[in-house]
Amino acid sequence: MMSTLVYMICWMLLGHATVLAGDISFQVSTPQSVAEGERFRVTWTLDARPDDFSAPSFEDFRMISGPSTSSSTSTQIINNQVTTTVSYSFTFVLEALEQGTFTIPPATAVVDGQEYASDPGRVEVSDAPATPAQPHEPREPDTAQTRPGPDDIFIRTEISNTNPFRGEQVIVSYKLYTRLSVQRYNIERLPGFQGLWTENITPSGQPVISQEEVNGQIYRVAEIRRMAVFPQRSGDIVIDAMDVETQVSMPTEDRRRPGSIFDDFFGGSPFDRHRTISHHVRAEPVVLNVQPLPAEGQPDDFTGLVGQFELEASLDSRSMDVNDAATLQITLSGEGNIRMAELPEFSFPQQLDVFDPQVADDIHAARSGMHGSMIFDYVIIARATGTFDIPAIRVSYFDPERRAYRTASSGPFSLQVEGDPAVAGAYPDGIMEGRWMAEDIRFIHTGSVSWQQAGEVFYRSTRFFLLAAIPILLLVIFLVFWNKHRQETADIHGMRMKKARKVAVKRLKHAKRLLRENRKEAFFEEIFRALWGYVSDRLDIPVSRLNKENVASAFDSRQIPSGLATRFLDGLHECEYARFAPAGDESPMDTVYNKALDTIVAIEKELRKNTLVR
Amino acid sequence: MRWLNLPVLWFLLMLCVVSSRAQSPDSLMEQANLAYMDESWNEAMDMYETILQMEVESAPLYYNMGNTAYQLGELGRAILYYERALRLNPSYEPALHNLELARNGIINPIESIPVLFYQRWHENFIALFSADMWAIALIIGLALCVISIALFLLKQIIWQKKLFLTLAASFLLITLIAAYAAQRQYHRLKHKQEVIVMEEVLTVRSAPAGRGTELFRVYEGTKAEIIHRMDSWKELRFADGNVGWVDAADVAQI
Repeated sequence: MMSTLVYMICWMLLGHATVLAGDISFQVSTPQSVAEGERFRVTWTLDARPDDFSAPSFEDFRMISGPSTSSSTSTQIINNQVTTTVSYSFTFVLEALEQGTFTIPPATAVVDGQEYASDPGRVEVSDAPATPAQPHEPREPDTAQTRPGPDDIFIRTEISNTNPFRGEQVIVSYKLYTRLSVQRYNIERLPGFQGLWTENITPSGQPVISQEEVNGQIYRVAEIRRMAVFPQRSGDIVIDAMDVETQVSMPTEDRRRPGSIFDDFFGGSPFDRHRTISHHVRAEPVVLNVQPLPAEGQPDDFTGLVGQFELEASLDSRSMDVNDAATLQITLSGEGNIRMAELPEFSFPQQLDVFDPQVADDIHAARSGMHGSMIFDYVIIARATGTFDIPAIRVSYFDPERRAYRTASSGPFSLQVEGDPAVAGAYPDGIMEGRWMAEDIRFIHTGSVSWQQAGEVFYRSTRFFLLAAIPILLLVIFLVFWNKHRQETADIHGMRMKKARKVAVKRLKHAKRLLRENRKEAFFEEIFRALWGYVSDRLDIPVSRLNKENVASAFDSRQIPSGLATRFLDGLHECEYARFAPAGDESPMDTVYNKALDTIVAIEKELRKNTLVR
Repeated sequence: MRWLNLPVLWFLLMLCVVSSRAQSPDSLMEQANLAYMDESWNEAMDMYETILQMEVESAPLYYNMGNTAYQLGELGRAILYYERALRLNPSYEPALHNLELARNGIINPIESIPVLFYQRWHENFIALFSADMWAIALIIGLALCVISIALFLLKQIIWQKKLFLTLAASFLLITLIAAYAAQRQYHRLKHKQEVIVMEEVLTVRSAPAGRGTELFRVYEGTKAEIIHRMDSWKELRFADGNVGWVDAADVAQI
């Protein structure tokens, strides 16, 4: 067993020529030896994206097809370091024309403007497969044939459940059965998976070889590919055929012994005479009949999770200070399409600020399928003090074994937040509990209330306009009355003014009579009154306010020359003097009379003149 | 002169009508207040709402309803009723105080766009009284102005004349200011329609349909101005100037 492995590893290493130029590896891989007339592949592999690739001319071979280009990208995360590897390969299918050892010239590729050349490849072409020289045993007729028969090597596809529910995990296993010694195999074409989500769960390393008996024959069996597939829709889903290219070592002599099965799997003893031929094996398409998930009993928050799951949630602290952060970690673990797991939206109390969760996964591919956990970390910041209840976290899933929906839940939690509520800022204390700073709002109004019709507005109502009209009307009425009154008072003055001259004339006449009678005292008094009365009436000065200053200013305001005022005042003075002076000392009575008459006439004339001028 | 009595009579008649109607609201108000003092908030709220059904309103009624909603933990309704109380009486101090307190409970309150200081003074001055109070100020100012004019005309002594002329001019100015403010408040009352968000969280959309793009979220108690209506949708402008459509059922008009 050990020897075969060593042999195989050596074989594989020899087949590879490696060029290391800088960090870029440019390799050519060819089979070491082929038979004359056999078709084989030459593949150049480059671990960078080439800008240009040119193959050499294959002078000694006939090119059947090529180049077929393929690329792959793989990302590895080791100790949080991300490594991305790209790989481009160019494959040619050639046919060996003649026997001998041939060199495949180097190919060139341009990466980032720099040219790289691969090492040349070496191919040994041995003599063409001929009809078997040795007669074969009738018990095993196939071994003697040049090509392996369908019973010698075939692939079986094993499906864990051909009738799964939508989203249910199905294990698809491709097993290579052989009675020949297979040196190498290469999956040429992976099956297509329309409507399926697949995860490769092929165990890494060499396939484990076991034995199985099929139709009375002992086969060596190797699982060459194992996948977990998750149907994304219901109905029939076809898993396409898978093509595998094998390198089979066909013995030229029948040296097989029943006891050498173990040694022979990868080619038997190196000293046996054999030749290696390539053989194509195909795994036939298979059909999955996917059932829809039952609608009955489907929870509202069901997001398509199918399998067996558990939910665990933990809050890292149960009591915290306001504005501090706590972490709620929700771990959903189990087996099934866990990678598709989403948490349903769930509500936190308003006073807690909750950020979108950070999601991490810890999902493993095992032989039994995909299992592991999704971890959701919610960071919670409390903005108010109090005790807050975080409701239970629930996740619904469909359990295909029990054929029923189930709910995994964890919690609820209560979070005690302490600290100074003033720090909390915008949020009042304990909204949910109805304890809102009740001592702080003002008490209700309990006194009397004046009611108004709903929607009624006093402004611009009829009532408003009528009320506003009252003062204006009152003003109008007042103005009417006031104006009338003023006119009336104005008339009294006019009358007095009109009468002033007549009164003065009457008094002067009376004074003349007194002059004739020579009643001296009465005469001067009458002259005095005539002068005084005339000015009082004519210039509209109330008797009470009659004094020399007022008279002077009144004369002045009516533009009567000041000489006239002096004459008037002199006249008054003379009268006063004559009334109280000793006898014989006074001016002659007729002079006084004439003076007074002249003065009054002069004033009248002046007033008339002024009136006309105006 | 007889027709002068007409508005006075009419006014007295109105008072009689209002007071006869008010008998029932007063007793209900008293009962509701007692229920409030007993901390049976729901009962108190029911009775306050019964008063509203009688098509009467008053600032203290809305204020008490706001307090009751506050005690029930209904932030949106509390703010709505305080706003309604202040619509009737913008200088109602307890309502202003409690509204301020209730607004503290709004999650993510919208910051309003700062306005220039004189605009703010102007707004604050107008908002000092309701349209009706300004209207009363207008009538009183007008009456005092008329009295001053009459006294100015009647008085003979110069300094008295000067005094009453100044007073008349001042009262006229007051009357004009009151008329301006009353008109502004009236316009606000009749044409500026505001709403309060009643849903805990409300998504504002770009179009009046459920499939409109979700623009932003507002929270219970947020105030906004209606700028358009379409079917059961309202286009709102928020204090920060943002505009969007919401379902009319999720907001309540002040």
